[in-house]
Amino acid sequence: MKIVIATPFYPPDTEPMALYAKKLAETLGKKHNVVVVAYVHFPEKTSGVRIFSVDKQWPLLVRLALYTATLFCVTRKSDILYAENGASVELPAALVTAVLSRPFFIHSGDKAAEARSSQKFFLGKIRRFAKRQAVREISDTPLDRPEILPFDLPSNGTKAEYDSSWDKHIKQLLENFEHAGRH
Amino acid sequence: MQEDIKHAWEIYCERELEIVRPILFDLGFTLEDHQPHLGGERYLMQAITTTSGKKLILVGRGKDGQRVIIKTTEQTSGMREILHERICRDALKKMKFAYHVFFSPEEVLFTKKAGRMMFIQKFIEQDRTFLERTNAEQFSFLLKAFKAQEGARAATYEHLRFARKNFGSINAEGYLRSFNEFKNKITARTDDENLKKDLLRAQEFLVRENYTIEQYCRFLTHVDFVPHNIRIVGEKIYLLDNSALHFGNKYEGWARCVNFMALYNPPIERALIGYVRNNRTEEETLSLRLMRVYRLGEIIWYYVNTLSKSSGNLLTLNKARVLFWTQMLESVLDDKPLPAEVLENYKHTRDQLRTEDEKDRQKGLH
Repeated sequence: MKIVIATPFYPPDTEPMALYAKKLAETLGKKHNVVVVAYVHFPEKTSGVRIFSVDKQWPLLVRLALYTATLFCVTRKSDILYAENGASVELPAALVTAVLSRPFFIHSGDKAAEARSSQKFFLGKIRRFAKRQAVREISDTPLDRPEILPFDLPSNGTKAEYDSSWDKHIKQLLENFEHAGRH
Repeated sequence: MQEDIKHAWEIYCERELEIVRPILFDLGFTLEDHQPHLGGERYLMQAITTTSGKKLILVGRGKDGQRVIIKTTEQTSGMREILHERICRDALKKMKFAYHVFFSPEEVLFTKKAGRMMFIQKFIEQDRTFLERTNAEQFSFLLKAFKAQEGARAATYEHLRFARKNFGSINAEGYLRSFNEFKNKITARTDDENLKKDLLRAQEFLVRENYTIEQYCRFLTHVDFVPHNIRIVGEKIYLLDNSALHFGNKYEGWARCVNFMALYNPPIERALIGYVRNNRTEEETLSLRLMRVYRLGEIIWYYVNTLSKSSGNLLTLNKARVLFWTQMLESVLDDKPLPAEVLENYKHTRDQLRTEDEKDRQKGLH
């Protein structure tokens, strides 16, 4: 399957969504053809994944146009578009889907972005437009990676719990992708 | 030479204290008899860090008996530094990410009298110094502080404009330029072929990996994040020097701290490096090493610059410091730990050669 992951953050960004996007690309990239489109300056290398970056240093309208054009080009050759929530990605993803009619999924992992879109009229409009274009909204987010800490300091969860949450998440996503592909 | 500089500093302190003491008294502050920040090797630090100008850091008390720290200067560059510190303090308050993590000592008074800028802040009492805490506590506080800094990234054009205006910023090109300056200045003043070779190797390493330096730039980082610049009260971390905040490589602050801990508390040095290695990407481990090399170039230059201003025991000590940090640079370039005997030998030499004044200044500092 050819999957495009559209995200506003990617490492070296430190936001949880950036780490999620990288882990997702890495995991799906083992068995599928994965392309990431991200607003990032110099993205971290990710094995088996092609990354297209749009620098956030461009003025807003320029970076939106660049992102949309890049997303259009890569989605044209893909089966699935999977986008993180947030207006800067939702708008390009929804526009591209409206033109190309590809199965499009929104992942609502960024709760702050969701809160902003419910408070601001224009962002709310973009969100509703994106939801209308999407096949489905995915709200499940796997656990954060537990840290390995020195001096017997307690870690945030166990590796087994983390792995299991990711296995469940990937299984759910692939089921959704395959189902959308059949229709 | 050393005696001349020391004497000039003592005269400067005496003259300034005579002028400042009555002004402070009128403002409701008295100076304590013992002024730890005027003694020891402070005179040499003042002579080297010319960019910030001469400035006195005094300990006093307000009318209510509250201890305060008074920064005062009559030099333009010193005033500029104090103003920059205040701008950084205010900007930090505006950044939501840091609101619950970093605190600044309360400002008591900021004024200009008799051509002197006076910046008075509450003294932050702590029940023990940072290095007196357990290793687990030290590590937890440092990690929390580094994560809070990393939470601020000047990603968009608007962010970067705010960052440049308030804190200043540096990118890979800036780091390479600065390191080149350190290297050229050191090379011009030393005959040590080994040191010259190491610096060339270090420069090649930085140039080769400049993509990785740039990759982790645009983050907020405190470039002097070491125990004497922070105080811990409960769970709060007080920053004593906000002027050292800027936007640059996120591992610059880590690097300064790791290099410091390599000398003062090696288990913390190993724990910080291990944390990055175990929890972050290979590129980030490399970025930390690159920044350590950069900061080591800076500290070697600092001590090479002291040599012409020192004599007697202090000259011998500063030569030992240059050698020690050069050996540290070699170990980082080789990606190997510093041999324990190198550290022990240096500490032994340092403790033998430090003056009583300097030993007194060091008490409770870290």
